Amino acid sequence: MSKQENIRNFCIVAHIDHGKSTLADRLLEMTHTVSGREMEEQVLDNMDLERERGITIKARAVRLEYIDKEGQKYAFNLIDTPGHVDFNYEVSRSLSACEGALLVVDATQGIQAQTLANGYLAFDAGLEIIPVINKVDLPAADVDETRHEIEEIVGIPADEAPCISAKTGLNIEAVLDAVIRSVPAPKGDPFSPAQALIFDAVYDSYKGVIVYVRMKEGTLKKGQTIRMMATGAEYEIVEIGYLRPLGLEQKESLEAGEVGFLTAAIKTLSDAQVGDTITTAEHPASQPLPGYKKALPMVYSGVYPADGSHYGDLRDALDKLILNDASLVFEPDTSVALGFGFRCGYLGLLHMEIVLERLEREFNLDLITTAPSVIYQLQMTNGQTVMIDNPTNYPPSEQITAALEPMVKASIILPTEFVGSIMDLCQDRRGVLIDLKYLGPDRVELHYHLPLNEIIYDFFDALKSRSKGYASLDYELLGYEKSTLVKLDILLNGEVVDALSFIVHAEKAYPRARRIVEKLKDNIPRQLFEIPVQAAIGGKIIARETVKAMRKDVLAKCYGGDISRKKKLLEKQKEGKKKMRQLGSVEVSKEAFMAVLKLDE
Amino acid sequence: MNKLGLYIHIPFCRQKCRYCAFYSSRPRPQDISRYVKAVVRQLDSYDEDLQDYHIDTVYFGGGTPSLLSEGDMAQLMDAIRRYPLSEHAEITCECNPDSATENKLLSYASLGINRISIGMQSGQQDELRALGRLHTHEKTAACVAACKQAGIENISLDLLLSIPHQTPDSLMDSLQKAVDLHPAHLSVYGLKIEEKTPFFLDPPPMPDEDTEWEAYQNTFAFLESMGYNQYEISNAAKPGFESRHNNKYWKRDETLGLGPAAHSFFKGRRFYQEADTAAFMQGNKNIVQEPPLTARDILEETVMLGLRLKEGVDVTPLSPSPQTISFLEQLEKEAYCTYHKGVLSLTRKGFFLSNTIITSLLNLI
Repeated sequence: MSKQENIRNFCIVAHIDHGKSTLADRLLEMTHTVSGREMEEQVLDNMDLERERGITIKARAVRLEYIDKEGQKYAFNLIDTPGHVDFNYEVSRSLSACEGALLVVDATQGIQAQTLANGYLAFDAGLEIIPVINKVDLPAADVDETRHEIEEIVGIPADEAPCISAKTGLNIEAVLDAVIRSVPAPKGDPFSPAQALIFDAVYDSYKGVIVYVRMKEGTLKKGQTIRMMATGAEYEIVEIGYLRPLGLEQKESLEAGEVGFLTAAIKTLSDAQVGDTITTAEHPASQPLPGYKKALPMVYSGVYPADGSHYGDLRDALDKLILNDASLVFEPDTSVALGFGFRCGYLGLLHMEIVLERLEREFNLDLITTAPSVIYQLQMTNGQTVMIDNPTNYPPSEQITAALEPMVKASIILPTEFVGSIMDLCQDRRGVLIDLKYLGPDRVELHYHLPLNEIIYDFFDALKSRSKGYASLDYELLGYEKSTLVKLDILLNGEVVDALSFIVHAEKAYPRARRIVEKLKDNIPRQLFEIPVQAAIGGKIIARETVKAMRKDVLAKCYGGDISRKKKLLEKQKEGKKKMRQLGSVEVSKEAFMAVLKLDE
Repeated sequence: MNKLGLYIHIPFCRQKCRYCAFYSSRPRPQDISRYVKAVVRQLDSYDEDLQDYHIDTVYFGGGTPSLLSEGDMAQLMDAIRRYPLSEHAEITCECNPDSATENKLLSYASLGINRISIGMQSGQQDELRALGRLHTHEKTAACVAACKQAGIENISLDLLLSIPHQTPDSLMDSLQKAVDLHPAHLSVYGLKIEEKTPFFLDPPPMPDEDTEWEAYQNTFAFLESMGYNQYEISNAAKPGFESRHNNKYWKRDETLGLGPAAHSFFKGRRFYQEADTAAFMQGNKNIVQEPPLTARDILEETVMLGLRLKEGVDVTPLSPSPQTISFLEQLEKEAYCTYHKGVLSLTRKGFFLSNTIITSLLNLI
């Protein structure tokens, strides 16, 4: 057990790809926690998906032991946090577990949107912020400018900021020394009633939920009965100890100021909610720690099994997924075109992509997903206020007094040369410019109010491509604003296909309608009969295309040797037909369906 | 007594046509005579099986069967005649204008060949060259004349659609040239790029679907106007001159195939010979049996093959559901078929979409 004064609890925050995970690797190496040989690139990112995308999804915490030049032993609790805007809540909970934050800035890029966003989060959490200037080994690095930006924009002194290269290992020791020097030791009385902050939780099939805790006050011992203050549920501690990079280290107890884990045969993640306070049943704390809130989904989509008989598998997969993802919500949903499936709610587009990819990859599911949509607020003629998250539930316009859509405040940081193009993009997405600030001679920060609806498709991609990848984006939900919305229906062969319906702003309705009917015309294979493709608002057709009837599908020769082959071909064709989604009288392949729903610019 | 169609494969060609996927190779000296002996041996091995059969059609296919010398053909016909052969059996030999000489045709005729199928393919020189054919149209015409000289009136010409350089005009010209030769029968096939053919490695530009459709419809409409009734998806003939041997395939009558790559439908089982001439000549019996046919298989085959014929299929025994009948009525409305008194028959428009129609129908039944 280390003395409280020799504990340092800190996290690393940064904009994406500025090097926080690489820095974490170096810290692990330097503290001899994991030897160079044992080092697998970015050990803390231990999910395949994360490694592939080079992003961190689940917060991880690890205890490192460091002996300084004077021979003093320190315990560092390092918490690695996600850098993506979708996961702000998780970031903020991890910050609550720390006293300090390393703010890593890429010396070739300088301050970016999330450097600021995360920097402010750390500020708000009362942490001591230590700037670290990274990638100084690269030719494009401009250390002075970066230092200057940190002081001017973030507003903290940066003259003593360690200049490092996490990749080459340059000057990492300076970071450790800065942590010792500048991050305050934790406080908290080990004899007070226990208050442990749950800052993360992971489901394990053998142990149940592994709860990551920061002891704020008091002590928790193995065998004690604990109480979750949000739910009142009680459990007995089975295991308790430290989180080490290569596994769990069992201990008898955890004291105020320490970071570690506990297991208590907790069955589901919803029983151990991030942000909640754990206390003991015997001497409970009078108040929970502040700041707990439930994460709200921002984006919804329909998720259906490509083959209806796999509905049960999809349901099981979602049940398993939420064991490890407390912010995913879902409920059963049906579609005339797609059958039985689910409506899922995500923290954002990245969260959605990750969930879908996990479902397809980890659970081997073949899925059809409908286009992402947001929740609209409708004020009805009968006085009620209705929240609509599914276009198929959109009531007829006569019943609606007013329609409101969610708005976000977006902050975009980009090089000056692209400002015009990006402002065009935002304007095109019904954005309203709030302000424009120069962050330096070559960089601008734009603030726009934008409808959430307009940025959930491909705004980020368009932003990147118009700025050659240099623009960065951060956004937060502002609230609901009145808007002129309409429901666009798509008809095939005169029948509405509910899976293709969506809600759109009135001024975007016609161009969207045209794009969809054209996309459908290009993607629906020709069939025995001609297929009219129409887009309609309230029954009125505003765009149409026609899929011409098939002309040729014949086997010219069928003699002795051809018969078996032809049988096989027809068999394949029959199977293929069975896999097609029947949209009324029209057969559409899964790929065609997805292509239309994707609606790439 | 049961009827049987006999098919003999001659897997030899002087040169591979660029579009051809049939099994053949260049013959070395003595190859063909060795091969003929192997075929005779194989026929003999069916002695017992052929007890209650008489042969009413014979078909020499290839490759280039006209590479068979008089002596080769004589050996084969002798072996065949050891079995009961119908008096009016149709005995077809496929010929190439460059290997079917006058003398050869005379000998074939004297040996009993009474039907010749000639690969004309096109009446245009540039088109023939692009296909890799070894003859000119003049040669084709001469070959037809030689057949008639030899007393063979039952002549069929093969033509191709959608080949490189072909235009609607050049196609009409080729059709006219074909008709001017007064054949009894014509087979017209749309070019298909098959795997393992020279065209596959260097694909020629193909016309779009709509152009192909026009070509197909116009071709058979023209042939009909000239007295050739379209009786199958790709075949038209003067009344009474339909190919009796090929009809066996579409009507599921029994056929026995000899030689590598030859297929059979005999005593209710389908089987074929592996495509390996060398192995065959060494006497290796590489017969591959296909799985036995279930009742469902037979139903599907009947529909699939029967709908290739103008006379169509009687679907009443299949007990079509109301859904199926409504589908057929929908097809009829679009002029894809006629559905009358239980008999479903595809129109020329329907022939061109027969794969899809058949799959949709079979998914319903």
